[in-house]
Amino acid sequence: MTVSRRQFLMISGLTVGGVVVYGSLPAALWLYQNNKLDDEQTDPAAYQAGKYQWAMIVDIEKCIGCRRCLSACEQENHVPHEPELYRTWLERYEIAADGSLQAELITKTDLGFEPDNDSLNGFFVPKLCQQCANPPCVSVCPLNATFRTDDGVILMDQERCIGCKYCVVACPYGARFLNPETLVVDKCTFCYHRITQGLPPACVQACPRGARSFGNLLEPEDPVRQRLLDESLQVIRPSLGTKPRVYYTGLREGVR
Amino acid sequence: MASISQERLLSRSNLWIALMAAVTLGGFTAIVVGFVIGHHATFNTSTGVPWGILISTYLFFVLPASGLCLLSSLGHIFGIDRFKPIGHRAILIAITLMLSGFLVIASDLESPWRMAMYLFVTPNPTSPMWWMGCLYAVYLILLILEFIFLCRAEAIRRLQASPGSTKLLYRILAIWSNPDMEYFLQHSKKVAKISGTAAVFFAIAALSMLGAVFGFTSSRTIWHGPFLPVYFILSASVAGSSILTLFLVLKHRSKGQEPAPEIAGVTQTLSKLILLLIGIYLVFTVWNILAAQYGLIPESYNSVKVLVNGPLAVSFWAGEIIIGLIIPIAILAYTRGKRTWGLIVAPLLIFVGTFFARYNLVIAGQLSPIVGQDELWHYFPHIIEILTVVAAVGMWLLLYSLGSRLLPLEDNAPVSGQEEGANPPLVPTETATDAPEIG
Repeated sequence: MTVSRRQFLMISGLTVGGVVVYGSLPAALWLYQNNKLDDEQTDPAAYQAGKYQWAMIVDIEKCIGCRRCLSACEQENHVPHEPELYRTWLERYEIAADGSLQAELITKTDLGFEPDNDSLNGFFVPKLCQQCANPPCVSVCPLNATFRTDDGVILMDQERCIGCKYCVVACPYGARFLNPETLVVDKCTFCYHRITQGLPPACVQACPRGARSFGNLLEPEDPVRQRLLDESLQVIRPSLGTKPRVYYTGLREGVR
Repeated sequence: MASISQERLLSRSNLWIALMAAVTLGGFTAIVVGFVIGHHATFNTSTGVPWGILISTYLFFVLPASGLCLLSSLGHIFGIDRFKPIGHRAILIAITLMLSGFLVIASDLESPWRMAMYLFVTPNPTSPMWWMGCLYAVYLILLILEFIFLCRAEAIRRLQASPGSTKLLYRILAIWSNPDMEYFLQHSKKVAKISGTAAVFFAIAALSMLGAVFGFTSSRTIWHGPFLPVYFILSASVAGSSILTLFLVLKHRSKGQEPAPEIAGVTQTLSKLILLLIGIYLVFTVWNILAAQYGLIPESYNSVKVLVNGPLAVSFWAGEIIIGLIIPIAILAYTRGKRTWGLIVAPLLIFVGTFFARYNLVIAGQLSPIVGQDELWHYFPHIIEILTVVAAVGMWLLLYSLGSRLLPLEDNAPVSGQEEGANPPLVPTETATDAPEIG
């Protein structure tokens, strides 16, 4: 069978085109998923905090421990590149041969970790400020330098923090640290400068597995709100009554 | 200065003050260096252990400062005659301890000036730390007020006794009064009594609020609960009575002679009081540890393991238990307050022991991570942190020694018209000026 030049070009074009279209479909879908907040992009001045209640769902089963969220957070928020200074971090849990749960902290400066061939199973738990509705850090701050916004995010007043570190001690999730460059306590803000412009937090956007989803609990159509209604989600250390706004799926007993 | 002989200038008491001044100055240099370089590089505190030795040293200073106020009130407020001669000295020690306490806590903050700027501008009434700051500020003001008027009464009394006195400090303290007028004497005593009574309330409120600073952190099981506010009141009384006894004995018994009977009496009573208090304190310590480990509940058990069989084990067993409790209890029980060495060594050990106890309390609450990490956090103070502590201790001893020497304290009253010498002993002897002057 002979193929004319025209036919050849047509077949090649269709093949290449098909591959490109097929290949870009999931990419487009992913981009759509992660950037759909862009559609609602609003003027920051017009942002009305009362219309939002921000929340995050973390799917532990999806996290592969790639640490992209950690780098994205560091770059987006200009966090100093030091192992113990982080707004978000990973915890790597392993079920050892004797059945005990072993935990280790993975920060953005870690380049990797040694696999333990004897362990029976393992998983990662991405963590960040839990944006509690009843935040211990806000209660203890002597000068109201940390506060909860109307849209449910815990922020710092850079001008008022005296650096007493009481909030760092009081936070049950270890989500706070003293920033040596600003000399005030630093923490995750859900990327407040982004979410008020209709963008998702940097860690949400960076995750290649969609392990972190972000949404507005006051928006009836919001997938995060829908999942909260439909699924059995958990929070970390619920007994403390902090009412976190970061929810987890598949949170195992022993994760703290 | 020509009238002061070289011998006098080089007395041990002057050398002691010069040494403490040098220590304080050196320590202050370290504090400045810490702020200039930045605490990130000069403190070994971290995200996991944000509170280090400076917080524990703050407790070490302000706890006895409150306990001393309770002791001084026994004589001046509650009218127990036996404790009357110690009131002035107790308050002097309390004020100097508070000042050093504020120094270490200010050195620990990143922007201490903002504390002063915003304390009443943007207060947070749900924060125990805000309340603690206010209560201790008022407490210090009341203490100073009480002390000034106690000294004023004493200065008026002494000027009455020897009208020809040329002591400038006494005259300043007795300003706007006429030594002949009994009214001013009574008035000063009344003001001192009112501010002293208020100070007692503020001392207890501030102490228990300080306990609440730790007790309200629900995520730190070894601190959480009503135990620390109560424990701090007891612990403050133990530390306060120890340091008062130590300084009284050093002041009155180290000069190679027997002290006045009322001083000997009160130190012996104090030593019995200490023995009682420290016995209860030991019981508190034991039950706190036992309750936290019982049942192996992970969070509290891990914190206790840090103390009993972990990185703080030496500090706990050697510092807090053996030096701070067992040996002094044995000494006090053996000497029953009748031997000078016992009245020096036991309170000194107790006081040093409380330094370890505060350190253990603050650090043990943090070493066991609250996040998903099995490995304990590490903390050992940086040299700048240690020098900050040295500066605070130096400043405390310096201010106390100067105050003890220059101010008209009731227990160093000159005997019938004796006015010469900056710090006349109760029974002046030839050796008096050569004696060590730290009490």
